[in-house]
Amino acid sequence: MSFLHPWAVGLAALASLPVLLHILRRDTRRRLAFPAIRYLQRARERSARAIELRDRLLLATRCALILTLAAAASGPLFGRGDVSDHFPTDLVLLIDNSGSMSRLAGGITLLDVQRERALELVASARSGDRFWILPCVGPALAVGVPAEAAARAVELVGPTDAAADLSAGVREALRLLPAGTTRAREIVVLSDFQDSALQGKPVDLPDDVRIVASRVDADSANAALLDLTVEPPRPGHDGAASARVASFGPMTSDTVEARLVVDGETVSIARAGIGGSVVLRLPDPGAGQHAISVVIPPSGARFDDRRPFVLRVLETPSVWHSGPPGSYVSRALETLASDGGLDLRSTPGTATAWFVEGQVEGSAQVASNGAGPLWILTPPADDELLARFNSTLDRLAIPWTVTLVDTPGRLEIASSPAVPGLESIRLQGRHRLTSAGAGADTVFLRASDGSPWLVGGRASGRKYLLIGAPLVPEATDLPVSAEMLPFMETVLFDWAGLGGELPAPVTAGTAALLPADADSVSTPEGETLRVDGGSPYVPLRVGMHEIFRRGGGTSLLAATAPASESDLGTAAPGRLAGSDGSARIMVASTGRQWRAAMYGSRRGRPLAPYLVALAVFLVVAEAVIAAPRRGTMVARHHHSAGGRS
Amino acid sequence: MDARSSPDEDSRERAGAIRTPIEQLDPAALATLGNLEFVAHSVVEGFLIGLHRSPHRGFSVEFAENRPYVPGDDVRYVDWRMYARSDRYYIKQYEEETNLRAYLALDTSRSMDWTSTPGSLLTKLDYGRLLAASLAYLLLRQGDAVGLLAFDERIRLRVPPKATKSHLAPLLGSLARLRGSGTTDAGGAVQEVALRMRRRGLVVLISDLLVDTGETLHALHYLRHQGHEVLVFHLMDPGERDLPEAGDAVFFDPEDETELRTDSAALRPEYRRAVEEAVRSWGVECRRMGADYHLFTTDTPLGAVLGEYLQKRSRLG
Repeated sequence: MSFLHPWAVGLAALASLPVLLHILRRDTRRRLAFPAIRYLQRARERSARAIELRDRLLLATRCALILTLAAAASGPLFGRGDVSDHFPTDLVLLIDNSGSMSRLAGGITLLDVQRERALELVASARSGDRFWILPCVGPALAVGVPAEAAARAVELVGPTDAAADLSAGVREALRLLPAGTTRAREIVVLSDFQDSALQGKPVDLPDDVRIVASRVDADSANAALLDLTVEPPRPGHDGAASARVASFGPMTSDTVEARLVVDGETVSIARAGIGGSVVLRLPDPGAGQHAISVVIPPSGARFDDRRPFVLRVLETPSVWHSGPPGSYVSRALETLASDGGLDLRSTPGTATAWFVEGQVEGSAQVASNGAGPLWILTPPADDELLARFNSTLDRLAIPWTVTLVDTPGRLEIASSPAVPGLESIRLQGRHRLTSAGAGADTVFLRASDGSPWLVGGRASGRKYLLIGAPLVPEATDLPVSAEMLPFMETVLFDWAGLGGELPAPVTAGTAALLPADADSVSTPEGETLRVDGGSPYVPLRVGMHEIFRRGGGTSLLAATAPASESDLGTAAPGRLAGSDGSARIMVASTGRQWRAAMYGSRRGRPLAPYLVALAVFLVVAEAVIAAPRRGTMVARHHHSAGGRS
Repeated sequence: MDARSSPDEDSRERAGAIRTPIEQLDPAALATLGNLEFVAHSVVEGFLIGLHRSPHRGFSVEFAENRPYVPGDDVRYVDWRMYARSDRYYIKQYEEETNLRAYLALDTSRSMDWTSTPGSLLTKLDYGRLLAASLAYLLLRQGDAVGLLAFDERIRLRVPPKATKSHLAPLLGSLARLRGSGTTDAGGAVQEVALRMRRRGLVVLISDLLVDTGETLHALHYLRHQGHEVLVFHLMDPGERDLPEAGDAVFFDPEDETELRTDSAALRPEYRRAVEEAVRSWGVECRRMGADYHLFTTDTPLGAVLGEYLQKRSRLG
């Protein structure tokens, strides 16, 4: 209940007027001489109860009449009136444009359903309303604009494959909504209320802010590719891509066909059971940059039907080895070179990588000729050379030193999925890698006591790998074990990256740093965006984003959907706010509920016409109650006609 | 005193200018014509002239000691001695009509001195005064003896009955001097009349009957028991018959100052019923004892009241 003229409610105090008049007039009533008072007394005795009842009725009627008129004058509004008749309102429309909103409901996407609702809301706006259009993914499209501009902004809310954080969105909406005004404040959240979007901390909702949750549910089941792992091909070996196929909702088939697409061509097909995993063979695509995707047939949500990644395969890598002639490393490299996997050079020259086994000469070469692209270093077998080796590390800005332990103990290399069998390899344990504060480096292998044994990172702008012990039988039995060649392959092709590069895909909606010479980006939808080199770029759609460089080259950026977005379970919108505020969140699922929920500050239906009608009725009732009875009229008529009884 | 010689010339002219028969005039208008005697004279003479044209023809109200008999005369009034002497029939009306002794008992209590619309309606006392004067004139004109008793809670005026014409002027003068005062003891007044009337006669009670009903009826019954004829003229102001629209007011009895605070509009139907019941009760009780009872409102032309009297008079013979 609200009032157009609340001050008029005070007029209700006038209802006491008849009572006051009744009391006051007791002493001011006319005094009339009337000889036949005995008849009057007799009449009064007879009709005392009727008169009392009539007097009370009259008093009640008159009080009610004044109350009714006062109420009518105050313009009471009851319930919820027409949607367009509301108080001036500031509204933030938080539109969920995350990947899950691409699912279908009634033949159109959930996002389209919500956009239609948003347009319906905007169409019902009054001239004083202001709108903020805030997509869950992306910047605000309209800030404090009138309805026409808001409608245009709603049209601009495009789909993305990113994840939404509705709690963060509501916080941003609260930040945008001007406070301290007399206007009504509302946040309209248009979403599917995916559970993963409601993981944030509940919002402390101000008392004057109302949230309307427009919720739509998809009517289609979804199959998703999750947990993609890629094993890139190596010289002479095919790679593989594996993924898990999950379903959300009942699928029509127990299996789906999974394909591996390299540069637009399907190179591998396999059937995958729903809930199981699929492994697809990845043949060597040859040197160069390749856009690769694992794809299943389209289902409810499209963003998780394909998982793209980029594979950059290098030309056959060239390695210069510096170490004792005939060393185990030398022989392993020769073996790999004989398979065609690498080009073993005798001089550093243009070699892709330098493998230096603690040799002073080699170390000096590395130190003096810092142009080498990649260093793989082992400590010297001769303890007396260890100081010079550490000095070389220092000059190369490699934040590690190799120290000797006085009382070595038997250790093993800790197991690694990259090289099966390494866990049985013995270490003498004399050498220890000590960090000089390089937190960003990667520890590829550890000893059984947890100490780092093979680390990698970047120093002086170049990549390096540092092995924690000389690869000689006195330090470790690795060189004489069957795992030596797989170990060398992994070191060279995976950890050193000589086999190629497998950049981790960027999650849609998160920023990736563009190359310094980037000029423009072509999105998966074919849209070309101008970009600044070195600036962050946020891919919004799943797929390949092609980065054009000023020098003429291109590079690929694979964007994949966040895994959480594939979990299509939903949650109650009440989770947006704390326990105090959840009751103020109105949920509208159906169109009818939505139309009823729009604009909480509706004025309500005017009651004044009904009150005026009631007042008229009361006036008539008062006149009827107060009027003399018909018998009197008859008597008067009779008297005037006859004059005598 | 000859009633026809006393009215002044202006009053005559005013009476002559009125085309309505004078006895049918509104009493308030009638009261403006002049003094009481002139008004009584005008009312009665006008009434009698009208009566000769009325179905009452044949009943002789013309006073004459002996007049020749004409066919149609009541043979009871034939003067047989005159017939024996003159061998002619004469009507002996004179002796017969002087047999009636009438007492007019006029209530002059304060309740009588009231009108609901001053200036338009006479007070009940003025109306009663006019009525008593007219009756006195009529009675004396017929040769009846007429006396007057004015009372409130006491006897205020007592004029013994006489049948002489000279009796009229002092009687009317006394009437004119009466003022409303005090409460009412109608029973006492009627008993006083009963004590003073030794011969059977007619008692005309003119009152608003706002009296002790039991005592008054008892006294009237006593009168009847004594063999007197009783004629009760119950005077009522129209505003007493139908409660005026005074709204919410304090009503008080002018006699004893009894107050009643009420809304007249709400009580009007019940009031009307109470009045009707009282009137019906008076009528029933009077009939039961053989008295005549008539209710008149103060806007009733006096001619109608005189008619009631003459009917009663004719029954008395």
